[in-house]
Amino acid sequence: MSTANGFLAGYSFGAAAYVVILTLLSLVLTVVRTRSWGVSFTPLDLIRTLLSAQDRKTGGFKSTIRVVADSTYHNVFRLRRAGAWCNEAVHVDGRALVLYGSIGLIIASILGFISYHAGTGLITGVLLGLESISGVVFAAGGFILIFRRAKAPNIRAVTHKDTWALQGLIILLGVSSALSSVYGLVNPTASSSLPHIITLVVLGAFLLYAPFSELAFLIWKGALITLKTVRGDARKGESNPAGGGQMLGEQR
Amino acid sequence: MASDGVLIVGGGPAGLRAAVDLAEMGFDVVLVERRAELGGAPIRWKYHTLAPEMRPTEEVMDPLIDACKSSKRITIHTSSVVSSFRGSVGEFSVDVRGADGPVSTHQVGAVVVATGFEHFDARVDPRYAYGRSPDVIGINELEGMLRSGRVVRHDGSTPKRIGFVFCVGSRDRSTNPWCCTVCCGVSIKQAIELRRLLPDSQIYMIYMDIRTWGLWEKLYWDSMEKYGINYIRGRVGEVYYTGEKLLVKGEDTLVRGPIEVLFDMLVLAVGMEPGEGTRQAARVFGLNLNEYGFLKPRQPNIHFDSGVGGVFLAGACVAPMSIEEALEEGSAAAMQAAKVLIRSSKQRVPI
Amino acid sequence: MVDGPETHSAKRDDESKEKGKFIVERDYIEPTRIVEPSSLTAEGVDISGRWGTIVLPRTINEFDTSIYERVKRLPGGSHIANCWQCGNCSAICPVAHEHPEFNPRYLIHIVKMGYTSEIERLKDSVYLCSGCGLCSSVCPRGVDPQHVMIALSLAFHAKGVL
Repeated sequence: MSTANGFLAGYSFGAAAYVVILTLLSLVLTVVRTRSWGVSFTPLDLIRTLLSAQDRKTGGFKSTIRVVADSTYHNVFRLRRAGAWCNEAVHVDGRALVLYGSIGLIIASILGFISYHAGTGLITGVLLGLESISGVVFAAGGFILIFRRAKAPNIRAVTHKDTWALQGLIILLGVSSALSSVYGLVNPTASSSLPHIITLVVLGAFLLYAPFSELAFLIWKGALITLKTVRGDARKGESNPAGGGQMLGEQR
Repeated sequence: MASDGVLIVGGGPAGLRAAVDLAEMGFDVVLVERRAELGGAPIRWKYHTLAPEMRPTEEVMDPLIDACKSSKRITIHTSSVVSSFRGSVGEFSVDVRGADGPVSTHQVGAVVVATGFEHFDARVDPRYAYGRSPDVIGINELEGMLRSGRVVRHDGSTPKRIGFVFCVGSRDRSTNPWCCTVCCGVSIKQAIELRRLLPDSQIYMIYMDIRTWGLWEKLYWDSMEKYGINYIRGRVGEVYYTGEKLLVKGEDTLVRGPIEVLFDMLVLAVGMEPGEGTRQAARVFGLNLNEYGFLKPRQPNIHFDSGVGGVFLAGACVAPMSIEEALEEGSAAAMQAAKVLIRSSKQRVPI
Repeated sequence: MVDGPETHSAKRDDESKEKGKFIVERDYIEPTRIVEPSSLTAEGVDISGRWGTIVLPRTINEFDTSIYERVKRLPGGSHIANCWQCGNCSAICPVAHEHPEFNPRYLIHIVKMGYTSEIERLKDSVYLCSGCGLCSSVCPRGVDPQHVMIALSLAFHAKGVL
């Protein structure tokens, strides 16, 4: 039993290491590709701006965080101004599902990893359930996006191969994540599972492909919009003709 | 007495085509051209190539002119005009007056009027400073420059930024209200040739509409996709010579805003209008002119029928058109003239 | 309901009505073109005052094609030269029908012409593109505006460009 547990623990850490390494590699590739466009890597700029928030006349760190949270809420959850709020409802719905699904997958798998090694079995089970639902939502979003493009011949004709590949990978990843979490729920003592390995392989492919897809641009754009919102506030405070920092209390 | 001859007034593409067709059918032709050389606009303005495929003008004009000159059936009178016209269908008598005054009289059975067009004189429209500023030229003048392979400014330097202004002397109540049909295509053709000649040039086409009819559309697409020619939808209000360059003031419609940009050279798409040759022919033959001064056929969709028996119309004297259309109208008019001759002489085609 | 960036621009409009309020017939002028610095120095001497107010001209006086050249080489922008401004893309764009400052046809036009003042004014509008791809599906010339918008976003924010 201990060897089985030992093997499971080893496998679990091995898988985690694999994911972390590939994520880092993916990040590096994204930064390199973004820089090749002649622009700065905005997520880094955003983090730098947040960290130096105390120095700026933005009313302090707390206020900046409030701006970022608000911007994230509107742009990521309500999908406004990131350009997705438009009449093409199917397109918005698909994107929303992919977004929510991906957030669910990330949270569930990280917390699930922690919970598994902490030995809290029930919580692990719940998180596995969350992971499987997230996987379904993620795949459903990808399916909506791909189906929308495949159905209409005029949109199909102008869709790039990259888009088909990315949306296909989303579906694959969502489905395999869901399947492997369900398998994990049903067989809590299994040594390793084929669905889980497949998920790891698909995830690897996704992480290595994403930097070369439109996803790299979308990440850059999202961070840039948030950055501008934050900086817009700062500039507003500085250019007040009444001068000085008196007006800065009223940010919104 | 019936005659086997046809009088053709005008030695441009339409007239030459009619002459050659009739001569090849066995009829005699008297060809009268008011200028000193045959060939009409393509020869007068030294057309380099023809739209839409930029084939050399020689391919079309040389065989025609050679055939005319070598044909024993065609009598050519250059620097001449028709001074009088009498008789009835099948039995006309015409006087042809040469440059120095000699008049010859001819008996002909039918007449083809193919007196062509003139380019709008852009000095009439003061906006573009044509004739007052250097480096403002017409598409007719540019054609000759392209043919010589040398497009330079008045000081001999190579122009870098060249603008084409569409619809000069056309589609305009204050000058000429009609559309000249071919200027868009010709201007774009010239822009492409300019880009080939001067690869570092920046070319801007300032237009109201782009009217590259039918298969000429390919010129428009190629100009953008292959040659990087720029298009500004708008109009030019004033051209001012700064002493070095041309300051072009206008509006870009799509921006809804004013532009004032310096250009090295401006090419005006000067339109086609009826010339003195057409007016003179109308007087002599008793032809109707429409409100624009073009020869007016009896029915607007049937160009060759002038309304005067035995007199047929062909080419740009009736309406602005391309060379391919003018050639076909020449053949069509020749056909009508042949029919008159055959009927009036009550004999079969003499070939 | 708190709308994020919209309240910012509303407040800015109020401020802008104050700019240059001494100008006779100020209504003729777009507020964004009035520059009224609160302080002005020249060679170390303070010359602040009403005379520092200027009105920027509307006239476009140069075709600056550097951004156009850059866009042509960025991913997605290769067919921007094909655009003949027919407006099919803007006609079908679902975002354009909601946000007046997002107009794919117009954005492509100002880039091709190199009207840097307009690009400066609209450079933040290009992010409104949702990537739905309808524009590319109706473009008669194969411009692929969907991906041109991506290239424009990158070009407008390249280092040292605007």
